[in-house]
Amino acid sequence: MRCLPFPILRKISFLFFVFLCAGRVQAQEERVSKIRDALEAIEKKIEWEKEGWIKIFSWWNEKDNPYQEPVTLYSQLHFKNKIHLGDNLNLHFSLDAIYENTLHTEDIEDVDILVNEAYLCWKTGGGRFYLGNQYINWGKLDNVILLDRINPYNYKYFILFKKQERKLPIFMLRYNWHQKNYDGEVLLIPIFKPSYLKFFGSDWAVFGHLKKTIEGGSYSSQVKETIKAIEVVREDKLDKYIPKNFQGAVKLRSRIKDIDFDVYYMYIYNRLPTLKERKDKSNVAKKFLYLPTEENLTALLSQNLSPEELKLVEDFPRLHILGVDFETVMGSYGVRGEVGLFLNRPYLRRDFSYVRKDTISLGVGIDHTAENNFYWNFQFIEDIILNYEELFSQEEFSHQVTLNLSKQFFYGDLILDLDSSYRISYHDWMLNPQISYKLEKGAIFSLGGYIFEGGATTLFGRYSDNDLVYFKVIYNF
Amino acid sequence: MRGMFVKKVAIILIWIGMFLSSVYGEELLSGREIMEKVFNRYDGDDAYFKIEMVLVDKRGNARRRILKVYTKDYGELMKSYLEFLKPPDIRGVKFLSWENKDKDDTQYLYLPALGRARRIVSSQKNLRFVNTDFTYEDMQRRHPDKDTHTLLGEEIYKEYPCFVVESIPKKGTSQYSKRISWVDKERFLVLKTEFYNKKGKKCKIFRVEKIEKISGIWTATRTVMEDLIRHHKTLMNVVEVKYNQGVEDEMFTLSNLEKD
Repeated sequence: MRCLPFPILRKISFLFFVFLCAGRVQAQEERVSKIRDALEAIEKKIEWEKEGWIKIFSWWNEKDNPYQEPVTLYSQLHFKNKIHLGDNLNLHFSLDAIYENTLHTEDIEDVDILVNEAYLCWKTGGGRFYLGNQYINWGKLDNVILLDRINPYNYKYFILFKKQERKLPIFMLRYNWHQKNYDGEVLLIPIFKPSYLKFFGSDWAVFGHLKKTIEGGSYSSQVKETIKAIEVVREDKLDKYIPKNFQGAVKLRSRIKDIDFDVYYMYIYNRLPTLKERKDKSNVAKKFLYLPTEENLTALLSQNLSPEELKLVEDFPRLHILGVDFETVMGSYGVRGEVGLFLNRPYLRRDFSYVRKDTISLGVGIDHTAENNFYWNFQFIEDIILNYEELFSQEEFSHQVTLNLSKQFFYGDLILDLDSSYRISYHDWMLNPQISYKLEKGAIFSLGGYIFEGGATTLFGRYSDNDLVYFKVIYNF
Repeated sequence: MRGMFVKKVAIILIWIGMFLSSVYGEELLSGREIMEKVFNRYDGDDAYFKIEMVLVDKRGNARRRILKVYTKDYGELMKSYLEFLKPPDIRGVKFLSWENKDKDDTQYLYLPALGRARRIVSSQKNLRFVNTDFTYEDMQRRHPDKDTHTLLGEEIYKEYPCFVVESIPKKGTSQYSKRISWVDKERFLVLKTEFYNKKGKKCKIFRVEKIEKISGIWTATRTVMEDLIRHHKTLMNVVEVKYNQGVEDEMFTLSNLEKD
């Protein structure tokens, strides 16, 4: 932490005032001087903490269809700031400059400059208020989303980025407080912001390159027109600041004996959409999108749907979530878990009609570090759908396991890591081996890969054509 | 005349008393009593330290880190909070430790990439704390009840007369087979400790290079922990100290650890 002289601010303010006062130098001189003095006085009071990182992430995959991108480059400059405006007031903000590109020259895009976090933190009495775009980290499981649902997530590249990297900031008013025996946190979110998900037109889109494949294939013009007309739309009301869109959540944290635990209640929108048809015509459009067979295509065409009828509406129902998490140690093992009751979770039936069901999700994790710095972390996750009826690609009881193995060498400079996930109920899985080396100056080089396997309608199986090798450099400054 | 005589006798008696206490008084202290005095030595109700840590490998390559530490006494027990400020690759890593009566400390490590704190389990306490030469066990104060202490004798360490105390851990309470500590006789500050591994081999040495009296409290402001097996050193220079500033309880909560 150090006091900075704010040279840039001083220069800008000086130039601004010089320009402003050019015609009336004499008359304004005194005022300019006063303002400059005031700015300097503010600068002396303000402390600015700056940090950031540069990430270059590139991946290569084998081209399984003509529309797939063999090489993708993702680069990001993240600049994080904390300005101490006073004894009890801080401004936090972070900026991202993101540049993404593929080998296709026509796809060259500009650099995106984004404001990421931007919030004020005001400390008062026994608590703190936070207002603005923020990240919230709730829950105890690693790289699994069960109760950590306040922020939306970016699924543009599916899970190539870890959970914390996928998180998107959301605007909210947050208050947390500390008491002798418990801590509390309450959130008020005035707008709805969904997770970022592409349905068409990329390697990682839910329906991949289906539209392009039909468009470029030897199909009749009726087929091409029909498929081209399929669109996913969002109800406008969700994007507006209206009282109906308000969401809220509360968390209480305490400790009994050696067990840390949190109790949650959330009244939020489901951030991942489920597709509804505007007019019920046997759900043929959805059926074709999820299972693109000749038979389903014929069924879709036979309905002669108008472009309006081919529009699918994203539905984000309200969820009531009651949850508990815990963490403790048992001998030489760390043990933690989460359980949540979700009221109104959306699903698709076998006939692709839309239904909401209450669900219980629970997860337990156990981890251990051996003396030779070998670390393993095993998690078991179970979803139980209450009042079950036959659903598309969703069993009544779904079991999933994740396993992370890691070993450090040379005082942590070299790390071998293997991340894996297996969805027992659907027989689809993912493997992510990685080797990382940390240079003395702070740059970390990683080489790794992703392998996805499973049936065509399963979570990982959907991306089984996207096995890839990647190279990543992160430089912290 | 009589008054003068009484004064002289009184002065002689005081000198004799002081001499006897210096000769026999210290010898009366057992190894356990010395370590109790070390444990109970007043080091402020709360404290803030800014520390420069330098990691030196066997080839002499040095890595510099800056961290801040807060501690607070809660009666017999203490809580401490540590946060790395520099360099960028470790910035934001935080550590929280709560002493417990009659059992191991509760320790948490917060890693920014994970977004949450993780409990440190007992087997992990043998591991190096963020790749320094301190293990998680070394990061906690050791209650005298956990060891059997024997006074081995007295020695001068640097210019300070010291008690030399051997501490053998009670079964299953430590990664070490024994420690030998050089305790400053006047200040009850540990100035040097030799650590012996389970095979009985001397594996590490902790040395205090400089002590200073700050706000009336003797403080080790320059220390070295040396791993004799890996030939690696961790140097700690205290660059700022503040005692009794009224550090808030909230500082030592899990919620604070997970705050940005």
